[in-house]
Amino acid sequence: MPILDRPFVVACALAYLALVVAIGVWAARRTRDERDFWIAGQRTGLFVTGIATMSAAFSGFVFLGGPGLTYRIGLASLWINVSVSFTAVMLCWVLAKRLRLLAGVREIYTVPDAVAARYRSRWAQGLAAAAVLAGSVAYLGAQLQALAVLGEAVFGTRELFGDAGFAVAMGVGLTIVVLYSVAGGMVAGIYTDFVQGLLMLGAAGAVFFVAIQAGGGWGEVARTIQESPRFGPDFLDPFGRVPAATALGFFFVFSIGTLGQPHMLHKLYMLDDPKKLRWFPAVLAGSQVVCLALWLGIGLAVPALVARGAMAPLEDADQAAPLFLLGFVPEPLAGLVLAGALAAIMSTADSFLNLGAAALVRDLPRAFGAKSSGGLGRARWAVVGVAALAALSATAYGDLIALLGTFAFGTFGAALTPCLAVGLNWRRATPAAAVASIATGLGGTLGLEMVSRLPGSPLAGWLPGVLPAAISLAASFVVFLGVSWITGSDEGDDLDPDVAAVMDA
Amino acid sequence: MPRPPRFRESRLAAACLTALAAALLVGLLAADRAWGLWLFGLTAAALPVALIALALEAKARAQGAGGTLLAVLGLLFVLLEGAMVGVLSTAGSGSGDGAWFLGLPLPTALLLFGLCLIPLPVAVLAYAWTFDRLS
Repeated sequence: MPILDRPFVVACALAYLALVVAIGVWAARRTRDERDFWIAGQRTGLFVTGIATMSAAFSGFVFLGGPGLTYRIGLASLWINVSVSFTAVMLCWVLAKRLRLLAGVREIYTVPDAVAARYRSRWAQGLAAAAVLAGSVAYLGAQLQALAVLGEAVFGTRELFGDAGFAVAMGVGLTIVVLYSVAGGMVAGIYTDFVQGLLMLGAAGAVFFVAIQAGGGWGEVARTIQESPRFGPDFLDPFGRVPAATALGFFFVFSIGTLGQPHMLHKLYMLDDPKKLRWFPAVLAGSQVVCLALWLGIGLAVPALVARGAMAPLEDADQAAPLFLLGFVPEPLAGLVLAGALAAIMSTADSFLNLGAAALVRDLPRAFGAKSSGGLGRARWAVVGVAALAALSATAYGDLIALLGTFAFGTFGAALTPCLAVGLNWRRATPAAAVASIATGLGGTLGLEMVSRLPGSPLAGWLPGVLPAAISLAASFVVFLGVSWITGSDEGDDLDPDVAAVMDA
Repeated sequence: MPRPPRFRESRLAAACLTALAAALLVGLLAADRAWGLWLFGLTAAALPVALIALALEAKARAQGAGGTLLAVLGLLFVLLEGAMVGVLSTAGSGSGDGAWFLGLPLPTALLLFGLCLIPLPVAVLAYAWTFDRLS
């Protein structure tokens, strides 16, 4: 039973959980109004904002889902990550300044707020809010799955509670996240994200070296995998274990789709001074690539260990990281890394609780003409509601953490990227184009995902290996640009003067 | 009333972006064929550069920084497209008989180093260096 066998690991996890609760209590005292609750009062500096953005973006998807996905599909999983080389810079050049300046001239607390300011369209605002809500529930569901997997491994809830162990682990973790999110909103969120990001950096950097050593050393790990009958050379090939269309689809969705991720964009509203954006990509991309070393390290070490017979073949690929950490890493480091994994999951979870709640009580009502979001009280109840929806989605999904995360990431990207990335830089973009592209992206991703899961799905025969999110994102771009060319005018869209000034800045 | 010059100048970038997006969708829908896969891969690598061009073209012209923008975008384009061509040309054989580089099969090394570890510092430093002129 893990609790008795590895007390240090459990102690690290408990110490970390106590720390985030303490930050939540501290943040609650600093949260006085909606500006504090939704954008941390717009008072955070470069390093805090950059590290918090990384930790919100990198979640259970990276720490648990990534090694699990690699175990299933080989190094084709790297197509998800390689675009970190340019996504931070692309985010800053294309969107960061405009969003931050918009938040300086208007009451912009959410991505749908920015859509409303740019297009002056309630339809566009409402659809954007629906996309944020749908994606937040799904993304949060992926985090809850990861929480449950980790909780079972660290605290032994399956041994203690049997089949209910999964739900117990999920419930306890979710309760803690909900408590500090309800109490402190984004003040709690951004500072826990910052602390969690530092923990993730330390954990990921350390475990990469340990993982490669455990696998037999850098030169030996790949050779062992290649020569193994279970894995073989195609495990190491970029197109080896998935259709090439799937691999390139990962690259497309996770590069361009970054521009539509509200949990990353939302952090930009919190930066105290836009001039600090100069070094924002360095902080964000630099920290991302350090954390991704864990994905690569454990992703290679576990199959190498299985190939050598030092580890039993996995029945559940998502167990790759927890089993490796509990079986092959010195206990103090395992404790740090598992706390880092908890940090990764919870930092993303609190972002989506906040975003989903904002969509529910602020963005959707405003799209219907309401002027007020109902204050802090209603916001806090919305956090609880979104948590409940996400718990349902987590138990209903029934597949790898990484695949639920991919679906959620794709939903955001397909729905929001064109109207933001193109629309905030091109005056000809019209409200009709925004409505059409958001509807295409949202409806396309949800519809195609459901069709792809049907037994004998027609999608598999018609477009083998093509990701539904990739189709939706590409279609959304074409629709946005095409409708803008058709419905836009040479004089450009009629913008409010302050929004026009931001676009011309 | 004369059109705002920045608005006029972004039409070229927007037209290029539109063509690229359409080509990407065609490549994606034909990805079960070799030409479709190549079209999808090459346009996916070019789209980030096109988006950055749309965001910066007008300002770069107004600031007299057109050459700087061209240099930065050109460098990024060459790095990403070069790596993508390398991966598309070498990956997929699954035989394991090819060359190795730094402990990984060549196609995977191209993916990791060519698309990620080499462009990252170039992009980050280019952004910081041109921040005052382009951002």
